[in-house]
Amino acid sequence: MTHFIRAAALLGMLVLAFLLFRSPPSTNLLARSGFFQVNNQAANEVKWASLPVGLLQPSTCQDCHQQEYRAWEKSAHQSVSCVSCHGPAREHVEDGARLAVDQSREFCELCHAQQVSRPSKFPQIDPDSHGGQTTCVTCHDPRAPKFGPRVPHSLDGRYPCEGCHIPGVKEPLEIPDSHAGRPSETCTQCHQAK
Amino acid sequence: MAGITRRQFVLGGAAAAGAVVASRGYSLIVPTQVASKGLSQSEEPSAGHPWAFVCDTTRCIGCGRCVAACKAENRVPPEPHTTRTWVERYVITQRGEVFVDSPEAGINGFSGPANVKYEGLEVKKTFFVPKLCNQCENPPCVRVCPVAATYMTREGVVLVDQEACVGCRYCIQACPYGARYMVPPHAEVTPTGQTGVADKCTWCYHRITKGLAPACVEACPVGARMFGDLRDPSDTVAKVLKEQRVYVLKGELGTRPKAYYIGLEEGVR
Ligand code: HEC
Ligand code: HEC
Ligand code: HEC
Ligand code: HEC
Ligand code: HEC
Ligand code: HEC
Repeated sequence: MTHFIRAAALLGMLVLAFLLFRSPPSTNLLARSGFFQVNNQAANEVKWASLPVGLLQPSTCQDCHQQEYRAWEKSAHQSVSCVSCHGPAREHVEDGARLAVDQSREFCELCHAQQVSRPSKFPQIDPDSHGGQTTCVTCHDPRAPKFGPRVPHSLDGRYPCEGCHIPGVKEPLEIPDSHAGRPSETCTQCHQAK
Repeated sequence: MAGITRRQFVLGGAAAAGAVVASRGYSLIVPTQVASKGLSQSEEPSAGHPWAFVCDTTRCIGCGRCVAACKAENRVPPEPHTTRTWVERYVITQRGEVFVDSPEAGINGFSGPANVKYEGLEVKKTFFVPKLCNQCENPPCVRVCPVAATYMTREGVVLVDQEACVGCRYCIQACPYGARYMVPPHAEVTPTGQTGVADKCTWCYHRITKGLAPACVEACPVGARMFGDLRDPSDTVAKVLKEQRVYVLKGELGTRPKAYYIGLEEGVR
């Protein structure tokens, strides 16, 4: 009988030990009960929460860049935050540091180059043919990229015409081959503002 | 200790074990129950998990602005493998093969119409998947930390106390999503000034605690990343979770992520 009780007690202890340690007790639990106090959670949270905000919202830019903001607000780029093109702007706003302005084709192509993985409804262009090798901002205003009133367009203040009508480039604005060698100053002699 | 008999030793041991159980309560025996409460330090009614994240894979264009924004905002070291968030390109072929790539974590976008690896294969489906810390409700990384340097805050965000972190990398191994990395020992750019420690996405704790969206959400041009407070019923994320079918990554692991995905395809892990 005693043998049986001893064996049963031993088995009971083993079961208890298994239950206790079948997965290591969470260290957090031990820490919470003061088992070892290596970290101070409240102080740590304050530290993380007080890191500086660098990427500002467009509303912060509004005060000083009203013109750009108003154009952007209504444009096809209204869903693109100023800072996703211009980068974090904290130093710019606080200390007047210069902000990067990337005018390269590669920059616009980050979002607009044709790719099979992109949702097909997103506007995409073929980087090899669209607009030749001219920078995109020659033809598109980054804060109002869609062309406003379609043609017939006013020709006033549109010089140089070749900025958008590039000789030799077929896409997206074709200029007839007959035009080879016609300088910019002559365009409006034949094409009248409508 | 010559006076102690085996009987006394065994009985003493049993009594000590009983005392431990009694003092720690049932919770030690059933750790999962504790974890399901989120290790919350407070039992106030306001405590809970108010924040959630949604990634819409049907909108992502793979421009990588989120990765660039995150690195700049959080002073994440510039190396491609040290990153808190990244974008993966998935290509699923007609034959069912799945190709995934993420050049430099996607920070410079994706070049070429297609990946050379699947050239010549017929593509059935291809899309981008943004990835970040899921802020699991049952976080494996928190469980394995030997010094309790990583833990879940009352709001449900998993943070690292980088002064307490000993750099053992257990948490990096434990995270099934690969969301953690080591700050290189000689890094010049660091999130908190500590090097040789584990770091991870905090959902921009410094922004969300001020009511701002995380940097990657602010930078996303197409609304493929959304962030919100579930206690506010008018919140976009709360609406999405209520009205749309959403999925979580590796749900079968029981980590219970709080980052949800729209339009997730079978084969995405
Ligand atoms: C306190 C006023 C102020 C605020 C706020 C402000 N800016 Fe500016 N910004 C300026 C001034 C002044 C200049 C002209 C400085 C110069 O020419 O060097 C400027 C110039 C710029 C330029 C052109 C830089 C160049 O090299 O041509 C960009 C781009 C710009 N700001 C973007 C922004 C963005 C984006 C924001 C919002 C996050 C912003 N700014 C907020 C005052 C401001
Ligand atoms: C799609 C990317 C993009 C977005 C979004 C964008 N910008 Fe720009 N911005 C540019 C580029 C490219 C240039 C330089 C090209 C140029 O001179 O037009 C520029 C130039 C500027 C300049 C210099 C003055 C000028 O007109 O050349 C200012 C100021 C500026 N941006 C402010 C803003 C503000 C404020 C916002 C948000 C309301 C904003 N930008 C949104 C791309 C962008
Ligand atoms: C961060 C991503 C991003 C960058 C960089 C960007 N765009 Fe866009 N662009 C967008 C989004 C988003 C839209 C709106 C798409 C939509 O309406 O579905 C858009 C719309 C446009 C459109 C209108 C397309 C149409 O007809 O609907 C043009 C044109 C355009 N962008 C040109 C540019 C140019 C030029 C640049 C470089 C200065 C540029 N974009 C840089 C994201 C970007
Ligand atoms: C030579 C002038 C020119 C240049 C350079 C140019 N574009 Fe365009 N782009 C146009 C015109 C014109 C259209 C058609 C506008 C319309 O239909 O309203 C257009 C249309 C677009 C569209 C809309 C396409 C669609 O399917 O809806 C996008 C996006 C665009 N351009 C982006 C770019 C980008 C990015 C660059 C630089 C890599 C660029 N463009 C360079 C003139 C130009
Ligand atoms: C900002 C870019 C831009 C500039 C600069 C520009 N154009 Fe255009 N032009 C366009 C666009 C966009 C179209 C429409 C193309 C289309 O819809 O296919 C167009 C179409 C035309 C057409 C054909 C349509 C018609 O009216 O019958 C002529 C001619 C023309 N432009 C002449 C000129 C002349 C001359 C100049 C210089 C004074 C000029 N353009 C400057 C963008 C530009
Ligand atoms: C000698 C008169 C003349 C001059 C100068 C001239 N054009 Fe033209 N342009 C025409 C005629 C005529 C046509 C239509 C017949 C053709 O295809 O040649 C035309 C057609 C065009 C078209 C195509 C319109 C369409 O509907 O397809 C564009 C764009 C254009 N011109 C732009 C320009 C630009 C830009 C300049 C300045 C570099 C210019 N033109 C200078 C006479 C002229």
